[in-house]
Order: sequence, then structure tokens, then C-alpha cells
Amino acid sequence: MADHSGPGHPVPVPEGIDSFPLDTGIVLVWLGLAVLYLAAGRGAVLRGRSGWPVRRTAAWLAGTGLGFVSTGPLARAAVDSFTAHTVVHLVLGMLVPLLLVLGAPATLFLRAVPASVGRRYSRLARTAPLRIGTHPVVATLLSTIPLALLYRDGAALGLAHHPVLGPLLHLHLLVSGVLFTYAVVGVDPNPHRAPAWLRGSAIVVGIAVHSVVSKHLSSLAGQGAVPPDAEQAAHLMYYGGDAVHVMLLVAFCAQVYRAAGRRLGPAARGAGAPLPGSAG
Amino acid sequence: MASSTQPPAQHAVALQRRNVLVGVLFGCGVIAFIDEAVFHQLLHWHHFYDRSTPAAGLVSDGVFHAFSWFATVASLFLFADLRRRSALQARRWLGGILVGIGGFQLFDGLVQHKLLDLHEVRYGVDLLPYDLAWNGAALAFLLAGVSVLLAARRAETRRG
Repeated sequence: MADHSGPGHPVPVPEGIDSFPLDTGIVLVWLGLAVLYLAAGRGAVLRGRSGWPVRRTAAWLAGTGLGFVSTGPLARAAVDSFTAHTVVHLVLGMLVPLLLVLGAPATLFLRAVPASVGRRYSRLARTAPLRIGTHPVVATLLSTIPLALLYRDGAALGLAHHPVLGPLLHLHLLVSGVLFTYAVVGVDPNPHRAPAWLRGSAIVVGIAVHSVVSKHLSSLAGQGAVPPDAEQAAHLMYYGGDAVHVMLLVAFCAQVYRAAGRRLGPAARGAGAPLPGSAG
Repeated sequence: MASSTQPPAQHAVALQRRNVLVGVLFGCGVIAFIDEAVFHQLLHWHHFYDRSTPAAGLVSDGVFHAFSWFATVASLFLFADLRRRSALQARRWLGGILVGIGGFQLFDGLVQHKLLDLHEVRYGVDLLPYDLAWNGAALAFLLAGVSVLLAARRAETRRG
């Protein structure tokens, strides 16, 4: 990340040397996450637990691959361009979390380790901070309020310039996105999963807040306080956000649909007597 | 969700009602999508954001936007659920869609446009013909839906 001082007044600093350790670190973290997942999958097979769905591995690898937007040319462009910043926001804060959560890493981990390690993990998963942080209401507040405040007056880019707060903003996008996605469509074991109506409502509230924030941002465009490309960024945030939200809704509805099918049992599925007049 | 512990007759009525509800939800999603695609994107009659939109309009827009996406996706899965239960009644479902389209558009035209004065069909023109066409079309959809639902009920009683 380049060292720019002060919001809205980027001081040109030669790229390269100063941002090199951070960039390398980010690349190694994402590569490491991909490799660990593949290693856990191999470990599970060695323990005789095969049959891991390919779509989960694909989701995880796609998620870690897209995680590279947090470094490289796009991240560098995001320092000055609100539109590029929005792309990073959409990918890192929404799409990557969805793909990582659908990869079910904890389930894979539990398949790969001995039962004693698994029990220790389960105790950790039940601790209060995780339990509270993954509650749909808390997760919705954590992922919407800071960003709503940040985009309220276009301060997001100013903060992204900051050498320490900039990377922390990216980390917040990713972590709050993962918490929210896990809270509403998490496939990993969750001892305190909220009821479906609460998870569905959290998604609806999330979409509504996203829509209001991006339209408000669009209203600021051309007023001088925000970067010149704020309107384009707001449109991208609105429609791009919709695209990821629809994927989230499909994942959520598919889970509820499958759960209802399991409750129905095989007898009632398709084999049941048709209702009177069901042909009409 | 209608539970299987209900008596069969009550269960059947609950599933009949659900056919209508699933249609209404899908109708809401369809009309919201048409509004977005035709009036926002193609005609540019509705603005993404006009600077006069009050805060209440922004919030109500956001809530409706979220609701319509949820309604679209959820109604398709509920449709699949009806088929899985062999409980799909196409006529009730279609009637529900028409009621959903008409009801959503009439609510938009009367409450959001007129009562709350949030935004209009079009800007910078004489609004009366547009309002009449908007709400007239909504009413036509609503009446068509209700008559389809009544016909479905009559057919049901005839069959006994």
C-alpha cells in the first residue's frame, strides 16, 4: 500500500519498495489458504473419508483466487479510483466471503483431524465471541454500519489511502463479510444456527441497506466532496451488489428447500397422492 | 410450512392458499423487475436517483428493492416445493401472479407516488395521463387475477 497522507489529497509516492512486504504477505496468505484446504482434503481421504463434493473445493479455490484483488494492479488503482475501490469492495467484502463459506472449510478440517482435535475445535466454536459475532443480527450490524458511515460522506477513499487503516479496511471488509455470510448461509457446523426467518430477514435488511447506501453515494456525486467517479462507483456498487446478493439468496433458499425436503421424507416427495384439482 | 399433522382437508386448503401466495410473491418480483428494466434502464423515466428524492424515498426504495429480490428467488423455490409435493395448481398460481403484479403496481402508484409523494411515473410532463395509465393497468391486472382465482374456486366446487 502506498503511503498517502490525508484524505482526498494523495501525495504521489513511488510504488514498489515500501509496499513489497505487504503485497508478498497477502499473496502468501491466500496461497496458504488454498494449499491448506487441499491438504485437509487429502488428509480426509487418507483417513478414509472420501466423497467431498467438488463444488465445495471449487468454491474455496475460486474464493482464495479472487482474494488476490487485495493486492496487485486493481488494489493499486483503488487508491485513486473510487470505481476500482468499489470492485475491491464487492469482491473482497461480498463475493470472496460467499465462496469461502460455501467451501465449508471447518467441515473439511473436522474430517481431516483426529476426534480429539475436533472436540477442541467444537469447544472453540461454542465460545461467546464467536457465538455473538455469528448471530445474524450482530453480523448484519457489523457489516453494514461501519461501511454505511464510511460511504456516507465519501470518506472511504481517504481512509483507503492511510498506510495502516487502508489494509485494516480491507481486513474488515473480508472478516465482516465472512461473519455475515456464515451467519446467514453457513454450511459448516453451527451449534447456534439462527432460525430461517431470522437469517432470511438479515439478508433482506442487508440488501436494503446496500441499496440505500449506494443510492445515497450517487446523490453526493458532483458535489466536490467525493471523487469524480463516485456516480459510476455507486452504480457499480448497486448492480454489482445485486448480483452477489442474488447468489446469496439462491444459496439460502436452496438450503431451506433441501431442509424442508428432508422433513417431508421420501414418502411425501413426489409419491404423495395429488390434491383434488391439482391438474387445473 | 403446513405440517403433516394437520387433518387432510385443512392441509389441502393450506396448500391451495400457498399456490396463491407463491404466485403473488412471484408477481411482485416480476413487476419490480419490469420496472427496473423498462422504466429505469430502457426509457430512463425513473431515475436511479434524482436529487430531489427525500430520505424516506431512498429508504422505501431500498426496502422494496430488497423485498422484490427476495420474493423473486423465494417464490421460485416455493414453486419447486409445490411441484415436489404434487400440490401445484397452475390456475391458482397464475391468478396469484396477476394479483401480485396488480397489487404491487397499485401500491406503488397510489401510496408511494401519491400518498407519500416519493417519486413519480415520469418527470417534467403532465402527469394525469401517466397516472391514469399506470393505476388503470394495475387495476386491470388485479381484477384479472381475482377473476382467475374465483374461476378456480368455482371449478373446484363443481368437481365437489
